[in-house]
Amino acid sequence: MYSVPMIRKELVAASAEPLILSLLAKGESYGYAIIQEVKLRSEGKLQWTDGMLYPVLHRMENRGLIKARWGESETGRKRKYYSLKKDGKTAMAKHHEQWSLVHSVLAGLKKEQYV
Amino acid sequence: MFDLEQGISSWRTHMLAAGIKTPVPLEELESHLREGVQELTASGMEPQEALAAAIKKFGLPMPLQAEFTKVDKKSHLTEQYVIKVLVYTIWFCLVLPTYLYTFYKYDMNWAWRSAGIANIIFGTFLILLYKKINIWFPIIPNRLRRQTIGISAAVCGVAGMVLFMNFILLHFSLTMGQVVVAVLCGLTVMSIGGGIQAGLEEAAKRSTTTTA
Repeated sequence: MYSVPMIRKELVAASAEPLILSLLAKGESYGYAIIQEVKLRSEGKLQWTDGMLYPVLHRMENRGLIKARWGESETGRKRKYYSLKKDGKTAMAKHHEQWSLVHSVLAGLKKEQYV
Repeated sequence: MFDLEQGISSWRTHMLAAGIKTPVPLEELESHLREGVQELTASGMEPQEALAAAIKKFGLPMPLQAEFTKVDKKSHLTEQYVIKVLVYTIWFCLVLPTYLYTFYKYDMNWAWRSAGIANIIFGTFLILLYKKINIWFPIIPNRLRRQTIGISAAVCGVAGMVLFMNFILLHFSLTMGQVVVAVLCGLTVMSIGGGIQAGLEEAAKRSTTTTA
């Protein structure tokens, strides 16, 4: 079966940061939930190798875009929660601007093909 | 009977062997893995199957560690810079002037003098070429084996220095100039051990950066 292709890995990697920032803008979250939500929203077409999310989160934390705290899950298990910092909000706005630009250029070109 | 805890503990061993650090980020990764297993077992999968599936989805330890290394690289660079400045300062502003002064001030026979000069040349050479020395070291990908060899070399270096100093300083009555040269020789013995340890680590890093 080959219906809608999975998103290729370069694009998955490039979109990781804007997606994480935008997800965290809705409120704090943790690794597992972030992956589940991205999968759900993309209908399974945007899939990370689970572990690979963590180096991205740690890089963003080092750069001061997000902050982390240890908390507990409903079942009492330790969980690391991430939330957005001020610089993260700015970075998110920039990402949105750039992705919109790419999208509009692409959409414009596509439209011209059908004229 | 399948033991989930044992399965997770063996997964941890693999992660540690690849160089994933504990407690951060390993604890976080384990928490994620457990969450995955829990969800799969809740949907009716057998624990053993669920763990295998969660591990597969999680990805291999080596590429993951390579990504973490990239993240750490920046902070690692500042750390290296500080060490470099420190070593340069100690060597060029403290050790070297002390020696030159000693050579100038005290009389020594040619054997002592050449031992001192050889040490100074060797030390300066090591310090200036520190970054390039790792090409002489073999790459030992097995972390445990590499660290065992490296740490043993460093310990031998320190032990060698202590023994040497004890032997030479306690059993011979030396002039001030000779004491300084003897201390330098002792430090050289120690730095060879430390150098082997650092060289092996650097060599291993070289292998991960070229394959990453």
